[in-house]
Amino acid sequence: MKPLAVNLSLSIGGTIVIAVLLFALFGTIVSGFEPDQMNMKNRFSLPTAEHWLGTDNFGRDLWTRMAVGARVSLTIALCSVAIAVVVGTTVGLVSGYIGGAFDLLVMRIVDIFLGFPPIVLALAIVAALGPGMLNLTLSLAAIFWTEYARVVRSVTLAQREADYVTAAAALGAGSARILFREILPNVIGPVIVLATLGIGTAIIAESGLSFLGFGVEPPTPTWGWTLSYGTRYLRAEPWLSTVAGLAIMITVLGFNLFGDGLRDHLDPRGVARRIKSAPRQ
Amino acid sequence: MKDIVLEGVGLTKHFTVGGPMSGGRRRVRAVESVDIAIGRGETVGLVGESGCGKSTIGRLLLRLIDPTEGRIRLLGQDITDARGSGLRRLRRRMQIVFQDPFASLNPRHRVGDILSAPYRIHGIEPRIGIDAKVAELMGRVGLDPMARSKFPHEFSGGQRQRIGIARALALEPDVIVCDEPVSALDVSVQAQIVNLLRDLRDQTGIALLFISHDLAVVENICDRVAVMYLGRIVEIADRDRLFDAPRHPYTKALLKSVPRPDPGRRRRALFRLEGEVPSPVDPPTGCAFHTRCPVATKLCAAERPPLSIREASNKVACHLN
Repeated sequence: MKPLAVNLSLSIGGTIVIAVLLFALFGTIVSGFEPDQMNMKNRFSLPTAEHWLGTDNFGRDLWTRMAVGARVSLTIALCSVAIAVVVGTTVGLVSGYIGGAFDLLVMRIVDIFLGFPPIVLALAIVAALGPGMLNLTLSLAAIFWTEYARVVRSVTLAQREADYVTAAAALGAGSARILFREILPNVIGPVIVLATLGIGTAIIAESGLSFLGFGVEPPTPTWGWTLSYGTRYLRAEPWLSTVAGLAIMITVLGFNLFGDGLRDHLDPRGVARRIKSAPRQ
Repeated sequence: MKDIVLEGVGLTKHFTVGGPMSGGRRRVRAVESVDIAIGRGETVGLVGESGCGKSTIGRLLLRLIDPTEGRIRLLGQDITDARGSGLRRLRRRMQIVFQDPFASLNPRHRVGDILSAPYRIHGIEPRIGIDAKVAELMGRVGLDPMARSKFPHEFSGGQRQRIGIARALALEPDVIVCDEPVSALDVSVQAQIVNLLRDLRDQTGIALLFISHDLAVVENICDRVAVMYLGRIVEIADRDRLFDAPRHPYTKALLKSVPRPDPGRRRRALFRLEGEVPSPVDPPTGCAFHTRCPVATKLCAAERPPLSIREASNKVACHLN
């Protein structure tokens, strides 16, 4: 695990992800403000020594509100992606390995999910279940799982014909061992990359739903909602939406870089290539 | 006759290909009523062009695919209908070495894991312990036991093939099907691997089914050789008889097509058969080889010659020889 330092994407992405996590965990403590503490004399302040990210239309401290929003966004994104990964990977593995009519049926169910525009599907599910963090998480998982199922299925289809799978079968390995010990480690690479990219997508989707008013309900200061009400003042006071937008952008970028780097790091062949191609010290 | 380790009787395998979207269903006759037996400690070669059904026979014998017809016997026991855990227990007795040493080892597993998997799958604890056993296996195939924590991609093709052989040896099977074990390797490495297989066979008395299209390699290691054409065995004979006095016109053509390092004949073109291998979807009538055979007669097109005994246990399927 030496080449960690060589992997720039992983280092930068990891730093951003850790910074965002720390921000979510401790941001409200260090700011010294409550997220809904108003100060009408100090509206739309730019960053100052007191308000590190400025204030919003009610003079509330933006740093504190962004930190609360980070907690909400990250919780929803991580949970929805985790559910989607577990469900999608299992479905894809089993479907690709069994094949035949079972595979056909499962893939048509996936197609039904893919037939809906994702945001519309999420909106429909949230509308049916009612708003709230749990329902938002479930609705996002419902639109994300198909991607993992399809990718894992297609890789499994290719891998199950590989000689090392035949070798395991020839040694007498059972289906469970073949699926989870032989094939799973070879499909998990794309899944990890997709998942970290998916966290970025989930943050954007959550922000989008909040922006539209279907996410976590105000007064919870989510990033999407802050971005949304910031647009009302966009011409006169662009700073409010800019902070929310930047928070989303930097976080998504961080997870994407992290995912990219993680893929290279986890692939033993990739690591070997990196060691060889790294400049000599 | 020596006692038989692995035997296929009347083995037939048809694959169905295509569907309503690709011109209807067709039946590929990959293997047609093949009889083959491997005796204890014996090495049987199986040669033929690509697509003639060599590998399919290997996989049928190992019960990795189900035959359309025919029976398979392992150590005298009919295993054609074995399923599930019963079949998995039988797998200890028969193993396989693959052609492509890059595809046959799981790229995510360390060599130590690959070689200890056989014991873990069968819940066997070797007397000296799994770790010591893995080290011993690596030593037997000429690998440094210190390399056990490496991944397959850190080895060369020849070393990977050694790992594949060690894996096949792990459970001390009675027979190993070697499916083109050297054709993906450099010529110099081929010799090392063939010598390794031969040494291991001589030490352990293991039987080998050696599938190859390389006649020189087959001549080097095999006791008996079966020649396949379009899913059928056309000639099977002791190695020396087959190479010195081939009977079937296809065997003759194969032997004549082998490049020989002979400075006197450097510029002469090698013998080549006319035409293409017919499709196994729609094999010719009569003798499958009559479309390309230089000596074919009307009888050959009308009637398929049976694989019949000529001398000792040597068999040929030809009307004329």
